[in-house]
Amino acid sequence: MRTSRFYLFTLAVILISPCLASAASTLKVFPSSVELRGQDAKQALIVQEVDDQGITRDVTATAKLRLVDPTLATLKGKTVAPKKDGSTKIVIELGKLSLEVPVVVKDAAKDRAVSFRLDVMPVFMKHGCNNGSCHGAARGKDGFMLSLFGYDPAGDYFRLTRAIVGRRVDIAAPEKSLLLEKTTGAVAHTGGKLFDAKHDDYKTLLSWLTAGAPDDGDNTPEPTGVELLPRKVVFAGKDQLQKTVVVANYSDGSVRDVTQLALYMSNNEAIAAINKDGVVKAGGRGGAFVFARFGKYTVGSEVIVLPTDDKFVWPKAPEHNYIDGLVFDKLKKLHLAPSELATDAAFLRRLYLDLIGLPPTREEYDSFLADIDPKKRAKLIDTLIERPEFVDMWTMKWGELLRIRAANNQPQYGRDAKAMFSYAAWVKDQMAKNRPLNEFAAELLVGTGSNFRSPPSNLYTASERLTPEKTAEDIAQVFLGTRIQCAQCHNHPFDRWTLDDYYGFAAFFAGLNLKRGVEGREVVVNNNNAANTVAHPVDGRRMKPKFLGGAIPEVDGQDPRKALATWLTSPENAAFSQTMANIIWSHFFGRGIVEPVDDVRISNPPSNKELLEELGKKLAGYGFDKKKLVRDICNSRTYQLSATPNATNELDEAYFSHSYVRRLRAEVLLDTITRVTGTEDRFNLSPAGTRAVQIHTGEVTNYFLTTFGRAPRETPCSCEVNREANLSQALHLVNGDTITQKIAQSKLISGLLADKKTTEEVIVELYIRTLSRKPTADELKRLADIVRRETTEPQRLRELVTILLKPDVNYARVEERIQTLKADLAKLPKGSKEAISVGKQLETLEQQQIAARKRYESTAVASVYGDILWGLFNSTEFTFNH
Amino acid sequence: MRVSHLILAFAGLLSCVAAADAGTPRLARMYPPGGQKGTTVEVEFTGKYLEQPREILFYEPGITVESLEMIETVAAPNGKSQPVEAGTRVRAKLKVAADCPLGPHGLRLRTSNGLTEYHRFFVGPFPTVEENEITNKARNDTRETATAVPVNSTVLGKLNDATDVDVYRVEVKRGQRVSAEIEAARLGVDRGIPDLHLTIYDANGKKLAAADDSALFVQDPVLSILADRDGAYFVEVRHSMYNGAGDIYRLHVGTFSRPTGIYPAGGAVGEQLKVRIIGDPKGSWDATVTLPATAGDFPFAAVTDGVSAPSPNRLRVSPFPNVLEAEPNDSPDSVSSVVASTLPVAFNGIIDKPGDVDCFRFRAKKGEQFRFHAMAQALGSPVDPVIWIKSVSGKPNAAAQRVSDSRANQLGFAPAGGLTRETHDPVLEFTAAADGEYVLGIEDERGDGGNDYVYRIEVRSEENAIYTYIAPEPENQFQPQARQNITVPAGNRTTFQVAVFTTNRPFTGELELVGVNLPKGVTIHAPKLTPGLTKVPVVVEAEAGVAPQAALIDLIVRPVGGKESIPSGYRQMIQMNAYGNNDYYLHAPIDKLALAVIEAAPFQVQVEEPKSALVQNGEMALKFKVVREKGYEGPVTVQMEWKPTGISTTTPVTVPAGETEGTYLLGASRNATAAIHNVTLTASSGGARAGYNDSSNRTYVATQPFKLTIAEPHVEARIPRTSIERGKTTTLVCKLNHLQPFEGNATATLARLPRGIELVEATREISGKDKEVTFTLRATGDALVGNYQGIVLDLTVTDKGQSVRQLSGNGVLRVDSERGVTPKK
Repeated sequence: MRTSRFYLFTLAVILISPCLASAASTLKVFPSSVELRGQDAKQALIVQEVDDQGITRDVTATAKLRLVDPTLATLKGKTVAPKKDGSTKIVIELGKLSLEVPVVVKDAAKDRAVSFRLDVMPVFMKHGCNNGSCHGAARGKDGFMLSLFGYDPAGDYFRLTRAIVGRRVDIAAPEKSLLLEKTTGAVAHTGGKLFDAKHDDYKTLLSWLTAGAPDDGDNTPEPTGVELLPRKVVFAGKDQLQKTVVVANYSDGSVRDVTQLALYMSNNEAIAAINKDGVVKAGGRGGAFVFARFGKYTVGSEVIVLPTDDKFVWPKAPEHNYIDGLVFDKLKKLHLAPSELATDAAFLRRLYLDLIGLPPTREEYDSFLADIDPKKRAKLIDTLIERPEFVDMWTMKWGELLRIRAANNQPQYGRDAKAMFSYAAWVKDQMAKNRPLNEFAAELLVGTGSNFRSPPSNLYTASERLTPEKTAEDIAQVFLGTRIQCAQCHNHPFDRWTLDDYYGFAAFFAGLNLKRGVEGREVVVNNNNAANTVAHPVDGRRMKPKFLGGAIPEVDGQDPRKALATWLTSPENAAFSQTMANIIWSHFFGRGIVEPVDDVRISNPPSNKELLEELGKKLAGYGFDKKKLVRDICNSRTYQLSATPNATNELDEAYFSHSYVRRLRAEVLLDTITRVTGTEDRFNLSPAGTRAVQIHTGEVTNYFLTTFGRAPRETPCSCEVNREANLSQALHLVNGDTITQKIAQSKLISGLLADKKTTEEVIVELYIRTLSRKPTADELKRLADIVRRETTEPQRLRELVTILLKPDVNYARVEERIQTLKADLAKLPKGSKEAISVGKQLETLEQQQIAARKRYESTAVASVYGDILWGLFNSTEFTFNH
Repeated sequence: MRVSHLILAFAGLLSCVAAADAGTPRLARMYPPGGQKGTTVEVEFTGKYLEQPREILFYEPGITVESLEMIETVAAPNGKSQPVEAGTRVRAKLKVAADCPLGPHGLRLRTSNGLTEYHRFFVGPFPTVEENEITNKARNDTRETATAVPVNSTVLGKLNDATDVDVYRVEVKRGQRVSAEIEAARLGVDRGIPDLHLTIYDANGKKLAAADDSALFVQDPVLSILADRDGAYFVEVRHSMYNGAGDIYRLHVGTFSRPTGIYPAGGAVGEQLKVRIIGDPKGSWDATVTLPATAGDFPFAAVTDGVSAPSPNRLRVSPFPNVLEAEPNDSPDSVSSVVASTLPVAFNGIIDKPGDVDCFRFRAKKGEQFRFHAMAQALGSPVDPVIWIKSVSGKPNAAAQRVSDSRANQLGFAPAGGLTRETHDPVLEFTAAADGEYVLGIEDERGDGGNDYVYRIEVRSEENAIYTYIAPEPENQFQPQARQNITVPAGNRTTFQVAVFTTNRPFTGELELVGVNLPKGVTIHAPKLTPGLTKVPVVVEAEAGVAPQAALIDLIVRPVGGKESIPSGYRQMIQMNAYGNNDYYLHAPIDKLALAVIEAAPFQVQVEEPKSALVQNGEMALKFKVVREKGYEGPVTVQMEWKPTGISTTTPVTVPAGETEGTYLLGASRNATAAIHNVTLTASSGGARAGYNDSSNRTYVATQPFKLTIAEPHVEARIPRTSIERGKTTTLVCKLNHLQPFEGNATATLARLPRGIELVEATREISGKDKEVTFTLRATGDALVGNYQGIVLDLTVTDKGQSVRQLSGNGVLRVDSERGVTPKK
């Protein structure tokens, strides 16, 4: 009742909130200023119109462009080129709208020599010559060895000009160079024809060859940054187009239009496709990112596609806190309406499973539903956060991230079960103390000493072999949410990480070594402060410790991990605070704002950047008190939204417009079944009464947990926890012994029957215990009918008893004996001594059989309820959190 | 069902046969594994082949045997007696003297067939009480069901399964200690580590203290707290990781003082040493210890209020005086030269806080050599020491000589699998570069520190000791103690491999091996040790009629003919608690070799000493004879366990049941050194081993030592490259270079010829004067076209009446197809 009144209220709010239209459109031009340096410089311009709704239109074709001083530059189409040094403007007009772009021309008379790095290398990237499927690899491939994505220009130059003299590059007859003949398809090329002799890139290569294929001088500028413009595109409707322009900044201060040289990608082709020339095309409704890659830089722009004739009305859902404000801002932009608030029962179950990994008990259910305090949800959140099971949940999460898993076969790596025992106990202790996450991480990062006595040192024994590279990768992934693995062999293809970044970060761990302790299982981690460098694989440079994406600290002769811990966990390091916030967020929504949580990269942007930034700031502002952020999240309306979608948000999987239905993780599912049935699980290396969530180490598991995707903790990857639903899980629930045995061992039903509960009462009890809700009237009636039919019709009951009796050997034997005795009795003279004795025997045995049948009858009745419980366990509603 | 019963019956039959075949007794465990001093303890030995127990051989004094008997029957649960499997159980009554030293007492059981493995019996000061847990009935898993035990007692307990928890209740008065110490990992098992965890709770279940490990006893924890009120306290024992099953432990619980450190950790011989006892929750206290008159280890059990610590701490007794640290001594400059010491001394101190560095000054003369041994881990101290030495007058930035660990041999430990904590104690071998003052520094490698972080740096002049040990055989991989004692049947011989190691540098002169304390009638024959030779076969011979007995002997080496003696002795490392892949977590060093003379063996093996030499690149067949006692018909397997470098042998040769003769083939490689070696063959009862893990039970005897001469070959042949056409013949002329004369004529042939190539004359006779020998070869149609290498001249000469075979040369033969025939496709 209360709930439905609340719905009516919400509906009323929706109806009276009109969407106000604002004033006129505006015009934007990209880039907003033009600098032309050198004779060959040119710059294309893109004009965009933004309407009052924020919807953008590419008006480059229709806008009129005019040079204020045509003596300084020329305008060919929408591309401006230099004539003479000086500054002027271009005026852009579209209907009544107009805009000016300043233009500066420098060195107009200077002819820049063609450069290998500036001109030729981008051609390799653009046409995929140096990507992994063609010639690019850490050591090159397919004869023509190019460094992957051009991380080693000097090496590429060498292989091009020196490796097979006179073939790849023929200075005498540049057109006959294999480099050109292959690309134009003049000779056989596995990669096919890439372009013809009229293509600009052909001309670039030819002019470089004609110039004698020179190498660059020492002062060749390097790109220092790249921009993809416009930064944001909002399409209204399918198939619309938007041109883009890519501008590169160089170390000498020059700016260059590299639109034709950049490589383009999209993170969702179905929403926003981008072609070779950088033209974005609108697809289906939603949000996506398009990316341009040039040199070692990848940059992205957001693209939103809205329906054409969208009559979107924002329902004006009340915001509980800052989270809702930021989520709803995004939803408004995407024209997605949030779902309703979840019912008390749905919220109760969701919160229990998320916070403590167990369903509410009957008493907890009753008292919450009966509570009329409007703040009862907040109260419940506060209560559950302080429960010891909350500690277990986060101990498990960190156990996965830190890979707490023993490997006893090689104790010399320090991962013996004993070390893992003390590691897990330490992590649990930190969680129980609600140790601030930054302090927790910092203590781990400087972990030193015995893996038994100083548990944080286990951070460095978690991998099979301690190498600085592997350690760096794991630490970047766990604490910074970044996978830098690619940059071990080449500059990261979809992110900003270079080999220098990678080896600079790895150098923090170069001095670490492991020494065996006083017994073979004990390993002592210590740092050799004189050995904090690693060799760069390309040129053998000794790389000094360098923060990932940060500065080079002064750590000579010290343990550099101290500086690393300070930098990494400081509140100013957004990468850390946002990763931690995102890990927490993803626990409550089944996906991170960046998803997966440990794959933050430019080409995998957050679905709601502002939200992620704010959560990171809040977490840092709370002194990295995890509980405070959990409280914010759980109290937000966003978390409390219903899982039932509406017409606008049913396809949403990323913007949190409704609660996402998530399969319970393996441990929670097993604990829930165990709790409902009142049974106990036994796990290796754990004392009696251990719940699955409390298993401290990855290698201890059971069939059920493995089937439902428990993390084996072999890698730090968040992908290890498998929450997919698959056939073997369904089969295990249906046929496997876990549920059947637990129902058989359970005293729940027999207890309810002993308490003389009615059929309806038992069914309601089972529903509340498993699904945290009462059955609907229809469910209750249909189930009660089944129970009555099975347990009151004598014929049905007899059949059931017969089935149950079948395996009872003793019953069969007694039955046989009765028949024999009966036959004997028939032969004996009536009233004789023997007949009386046999008669007495018969009587006892028959009574015994009657008692047995009675027992089986009550078992049969219980088994009918057991089947209902089995059915509930097998329901999708039970195995999912929603 | 029926089938498997049948198989079991067969298996039983087979093992009976094996047992009847005599052999080495095996001891798996002792129960109880310890007892109180001044009492008589009934101990049950469990193992295999324990028939006819004769005596218990103890390594330390203080325990005597009152009775020793086989257990034939035991009481079944229904009260009736039932027989036990033969040879599996022995009962002994051990009388532990009132003044018996506390701690482990090594022992072996001798039966009529030999000696068992080394095991240790633990002597404690307290009466033993039983845990009295009955699974499924009376469990002591909670405080409510805890077993009440009197203070200062030793509980003999068992963890029934992986998650079993044993709880004990003790009643103490306010201000008394509640102390507990576990003996479990120390007891030693074959495989696994009984790694237990100890917790003390108060009456309300509040955890007061917990320990998983201790610096004193590694995996065995100790705890001591102060009771803050009268009443019950609870001591809980469980597996530290909820794994393992059936582990036995001894829990000492009471009001005793359990020292975690004693400072200083040693003194001079015979000294009345004033020590500080550390680790007591009531605070450190002082005691005076009378040190014995002989240098070495001294187990010292601290006694206060009339109660002894349950097990001793290890003190060191040295022939030189102590120097105690005087803070401040954290840097070389803070140590005044007034306290500079003259070596040798023992420096003592405590790394009393994290990051503490202690420095000492000493004087040395140019060229003086000293060995600095920092002891901490070995004494049960938590310090993991690093020591360094700098010259005071040297350049301030000069690199210090710095050592953090030692090698097992430097400590006098024989090579053994696994890791000993003693090697974390560094040994720094120091030679003074100039006359002057030096600074010795010590710190903890992990930067830890605390009030019981005691260390002792013993400094003495450098000396090179040579120790002997029994070299491991392949079967030791799975039975680390197999054949590490000597069993010799009266009137027979046995052989074993003795290896030597030095504590410092390799030995240079010739050494001879000497047995000390040998029983009368027992002799040792061993070849001399020459530089580079670190392992020799030693034959032990017992005269006929020597009575069965056991002795702890020593094996020393001394320079041949020289007057100088070198420190020497037998050193073996007993390995227990196997864990992981061939790793051992418990090492007990012993310095006496156990030897048993047993009743005569049922067979002897005699080898016919070869009259001629084994030549390089040659072969020799040794003839031997098995002399069987009447009634012994089983197979006998013979092999040469120790072989000179460059000598290869066949796999062990088994003389089948009933037969008496065999030949053993020896080969010498081209680089075998020409020399005369004293060697033996080892024979064991039974057939060839099935594998390293073959646990078959054997009696080992040896042949008499015999001389094996390795010499240069008689002739060196040069075989020219030759070609032959299929279906044709060709001649091959070998050039001969005579290196050693031989008598009469020798028989020559060509060996390793390819298929289809035949010699027209199978053999040729050559004399000592022939410079060449010619063979005629014929190629049949079977010969395959191609180049064949490795054709050799196989020469058999007669030397001192024995034929000696040698191979020589390396020829190449090309086989061509018939001329004019086109090869088939």
